[in-house]
Amino acid sequence: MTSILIKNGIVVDPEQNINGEKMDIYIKDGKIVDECKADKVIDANGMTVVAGGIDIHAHIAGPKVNAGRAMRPEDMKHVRMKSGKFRCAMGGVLLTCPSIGYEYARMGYTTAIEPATPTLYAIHTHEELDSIPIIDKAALPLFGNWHLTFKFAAEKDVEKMKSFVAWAIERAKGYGIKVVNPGGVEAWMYGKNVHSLNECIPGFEATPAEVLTTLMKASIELNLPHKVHVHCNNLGVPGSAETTAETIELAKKIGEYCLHITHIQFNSYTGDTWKNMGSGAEELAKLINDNPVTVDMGQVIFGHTTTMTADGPFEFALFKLAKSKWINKDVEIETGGGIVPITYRAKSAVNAVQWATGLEFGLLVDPDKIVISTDFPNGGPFTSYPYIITLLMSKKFREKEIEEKGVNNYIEKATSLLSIETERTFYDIVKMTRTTPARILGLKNKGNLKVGADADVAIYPFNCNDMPDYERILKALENPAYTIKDGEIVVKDGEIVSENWGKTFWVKAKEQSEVIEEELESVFKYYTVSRGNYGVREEWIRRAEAIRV
Amino acid sequence: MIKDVVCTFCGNACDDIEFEGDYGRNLCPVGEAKFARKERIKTPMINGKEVSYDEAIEKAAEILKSSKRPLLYGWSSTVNEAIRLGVIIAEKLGGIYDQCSSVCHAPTTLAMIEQGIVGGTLGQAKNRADVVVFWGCNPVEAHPRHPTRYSVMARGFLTRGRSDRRVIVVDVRKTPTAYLATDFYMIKPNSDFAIFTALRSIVNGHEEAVPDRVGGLKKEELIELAKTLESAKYGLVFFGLGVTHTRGHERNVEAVIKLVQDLNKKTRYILQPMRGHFNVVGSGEVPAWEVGFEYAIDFSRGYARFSPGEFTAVEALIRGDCDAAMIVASDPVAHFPKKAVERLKKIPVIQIDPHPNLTTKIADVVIPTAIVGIEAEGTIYRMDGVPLRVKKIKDTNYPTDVEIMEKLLEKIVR
Amino acid sequence: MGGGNLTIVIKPKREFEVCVEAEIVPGKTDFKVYLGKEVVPIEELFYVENIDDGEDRILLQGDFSRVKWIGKSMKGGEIIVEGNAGMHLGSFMEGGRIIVKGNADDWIGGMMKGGEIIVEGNAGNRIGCNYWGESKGMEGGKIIVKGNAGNYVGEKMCGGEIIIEGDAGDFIGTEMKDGRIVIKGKAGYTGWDMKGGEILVGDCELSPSFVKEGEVFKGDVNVKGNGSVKILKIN
Ligand code: SF4
Ligand SMILES: [Zn+2]
Repeated sequence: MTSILIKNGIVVDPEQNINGEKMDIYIKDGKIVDECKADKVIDANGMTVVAGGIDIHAHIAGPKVNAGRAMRPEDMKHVRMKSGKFRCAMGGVLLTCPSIGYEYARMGYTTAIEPATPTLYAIHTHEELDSIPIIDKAALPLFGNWHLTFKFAAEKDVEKMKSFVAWAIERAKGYGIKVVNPGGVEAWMYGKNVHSLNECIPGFEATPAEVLTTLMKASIELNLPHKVHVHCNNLGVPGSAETTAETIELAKKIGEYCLHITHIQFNSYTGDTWKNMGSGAEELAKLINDNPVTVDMGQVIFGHTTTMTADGPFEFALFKLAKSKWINKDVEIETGGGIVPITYRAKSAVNAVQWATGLEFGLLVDPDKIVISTDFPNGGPFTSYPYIITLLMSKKFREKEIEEKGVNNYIEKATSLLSIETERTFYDIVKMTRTTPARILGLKNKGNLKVGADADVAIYPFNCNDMPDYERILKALENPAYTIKDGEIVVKDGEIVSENWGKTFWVKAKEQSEVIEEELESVFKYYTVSRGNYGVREEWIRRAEAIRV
Repeated sequence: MIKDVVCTFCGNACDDIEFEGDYGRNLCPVGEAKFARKERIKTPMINGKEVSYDEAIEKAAEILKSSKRPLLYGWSSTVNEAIRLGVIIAEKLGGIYDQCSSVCHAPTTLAMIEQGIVGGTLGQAKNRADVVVFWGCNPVEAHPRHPTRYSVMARGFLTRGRSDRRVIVVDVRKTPTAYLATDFYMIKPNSDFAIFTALRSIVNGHEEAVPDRVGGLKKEELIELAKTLESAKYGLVFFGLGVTHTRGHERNVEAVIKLVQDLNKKTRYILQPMRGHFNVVGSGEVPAWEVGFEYAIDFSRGYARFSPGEFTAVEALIRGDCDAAMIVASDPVAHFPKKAVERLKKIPVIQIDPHPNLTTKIADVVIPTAIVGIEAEGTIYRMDGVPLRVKKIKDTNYPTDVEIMEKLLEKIVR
Repeated sequence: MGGGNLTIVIKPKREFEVCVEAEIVPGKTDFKVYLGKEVVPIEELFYVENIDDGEDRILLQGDFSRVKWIGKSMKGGEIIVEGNAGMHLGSFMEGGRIIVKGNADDWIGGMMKGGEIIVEGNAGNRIGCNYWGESKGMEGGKIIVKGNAGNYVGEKMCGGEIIIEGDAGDFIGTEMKDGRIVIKGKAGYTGWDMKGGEILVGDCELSPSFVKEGEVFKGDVNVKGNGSVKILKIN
């Protein structure tokens, strides 16, 4: 491994309260070090040096993602890079594994979290994660519709829930607790959905609220680095803002931080029909700022994409609306999922409100509490992060986009976007793409440039103390001068120059499966996979790294 | 005793096999035959002459590299780890990657491209389904443990077994599976498409569009069948080669997908193809995540192009679109149409397989390997995509498919 | 438009090891010739002769049944294939004319928008269809096949006209939205999930999702379609 000196760069690292100071950074053996003899010197004069970006929520691996690819050859046929020194990279919005690694690195991102994996399919998810070059990654197993989750929630048995969570995360080699439409996917097995937090889940004495509360308590008591990561009930429909507010209320009752609400934009609509739908971002942003919760944006990008979520009933509703193709997958007694292609149109009032709502959150929520995301590929490609950042940093750019794309002027009535003057500073942006996701995920060696941190670094060709106009910001963010991963230069001037393999993080929580032995036995009596074959072994993963708690 | 062994014969991938020496408890007769000792290819060969592994791999690399467009075919009977390397080899060579489903369940992929698919795991049959349909498939013979393990008699979380299920069999003859059925419908060969569509017209309230007889069934019978389908709380349609391999092919599948989509507007329904080989799913999933497509992939331009009917093995051979072939764990000489086999005989062929078969006879280079699931471990996908690790239960001196692919790749990118 | 003013005569020199891909269009001489993974100079595989006769034309002499993508995206001028033609003939075509004196392989006029293709012999499968996963088939122009056609004719067709003077196989006008298909002989399954447009056919097996209205059958009822199929044998 080479050692590198990044000389005279302008450093931004909110974790250390460094905001645009000219500094030298040394890298040795994949870590940031105090000082060392450098084999290679990068002259970063006039350039901005930050930690590698972290995507907290992007569907990048697993059966659902792959089914989406297989269903959409018309999207996969786009060629990003021909085979040569590196792999060929294919895909338009959906991407192949090589493309995913290359495209993240080409934006200066070095870590991404796959946020929805059925434990039954975890082997598959890890196979794909293992095929993604360069970046570090982790997967969140799904808990929100597991029969055992319902059982322990109904019994309000936090002890058993803890054991179950620890057991399933270990089996999935996962990183935390993902909850998607708690109870709603089970209701979908009967052709229904749940519509409020206090409704009974079909066949169980539990409510979505109890599921969330018990899981949040378990996440605290297990001391998980990443707490409950939730896709709320009622996603994507007018009135969802209310459910989101109620969900925040649940977290507030617990009293300490234990809840990350993902792709908040999709869960923040007011009104009761598509005709009078509006943005609930203003009120929700206040609630988020005042309560112990964090969120990611779920920004919508105009154009076509493929939605994919574990939220089976939502995808069915979307299928009926969009009248396009539809994949559904019901997974034993643990979860489900669906995939539907859609197009977000600037001229559509509904899509315009979605677009504006995401930006409102990005401008109104405290940067210590919000992370930039598109819920890839649901809102659009993650390759639009430079575009989203630029929108957040420049009101002029927002105005130009509204004008040029012809964004439906219904947003004037239904959202507060046009009246927001805020322009995010680059320091805020670094928080929203590095510091904050690293903190939410409990990844201490990520998202900062402290001595001892992982040497994942992005160097952008602009001076953040003297910000250029939006066009140049966008261009610089899309073409980092360097991306360094694990101490190796992988990107130069926006192009891949070398390829390495990142780590897969997983959490080993204290497991006491004896407590739930009886329940597990009863499950495997009827499962179609034997208990001995359920889950993933560490040695099957290319570069697994356990985090013990 | 070795527990939880996965059977590597059919798409059921039963994972409860217990091995005591050579005896595997829970195997069905078909599975037993798979695990029984069979003739092996003894050593690597070039033109029938015994050579070392290094020589054979060197020769194989030479053939592949000097070819204008090599075809790499087979894959559905090996593990994902080997398939992944195979896809990369095809990419680096500028060749074609194609796999066995191009001659079995590829119509399902094509239908999925048009419509998506409403699916679920086999656990849904076991735990939830109260109406189970077998259409153009005969699990009693082709997937022997399917009825007891998953679908007909199996007891689940929310079902008590056979008494809770209405089992419908639709086929062109009274198969052994038909004897398990509550209702059996004998239809005319090659009429699946018309019957699916007629049922759909009825389900959607347009009986007037349905003629008096369709595919050998009277209109009243069709109406009765539609009613039974709609009566399910959770229904499941299994379909097999009787749907994918008869007149209509992928359109038959598309028609049943559309029927199931429409049934979901009334109740819950899912659909599951009865896939044959134990890893036919993996041989499509792996290339999809590596290069974007499941089969029929050409890399001659340095990137992946998908074209069924063009870059599928049979058509590529018949059109003379490939000038060398590497066959992995498959026997095209036994299964392909005559014209395709004729072309295979004319071009250099490399075979990688544990067992001799008709393809061995025409192969220029033969490389024997360890048997997956007995002598070699790795990941495979059950017919519903559920991933399982097959085990190594016996030692061997044969190298694994993965080891061979690694060496080959090294020689090709060198 | 093509813009050339000469006739280019192209003849194969030898038998090809694998099929050749060459996007031969009038007025262009710099197209790439692919022989499998190799890009080769055109002279390696073909004799090329330019005749300065003021025409904007390409004459393909000999067997072109293993040459794919002839006339891809062509905008004007004329291609005459004196023998058989390979796959993807006239795909994405926007204008001009292609005449094939022999037979044509699969995928003629895939997603074409304009121009004319005439096949004097038989044609293969997927005439005027959409490519995999795309939502629109042929949008304009005209395809005439004087012999028989294979399966899948005019899928997701949005405009233009296809005329088959002989028989056709299964699946005529599947998910058709607009345009016109005429099959003078008989065909297999016809009209499935048709949303609009018009099919005239000598005889066929109509998808059981159409309702007779006067002279024609209207459907497909399952997609609330407004397509019409006229079966000449019945009327
Ligand atoms: S049903 Fe199939 S997988 Fe199961 S034991 Fe028999 S052959 Fe093996
Ligand atoms: Zn998501």
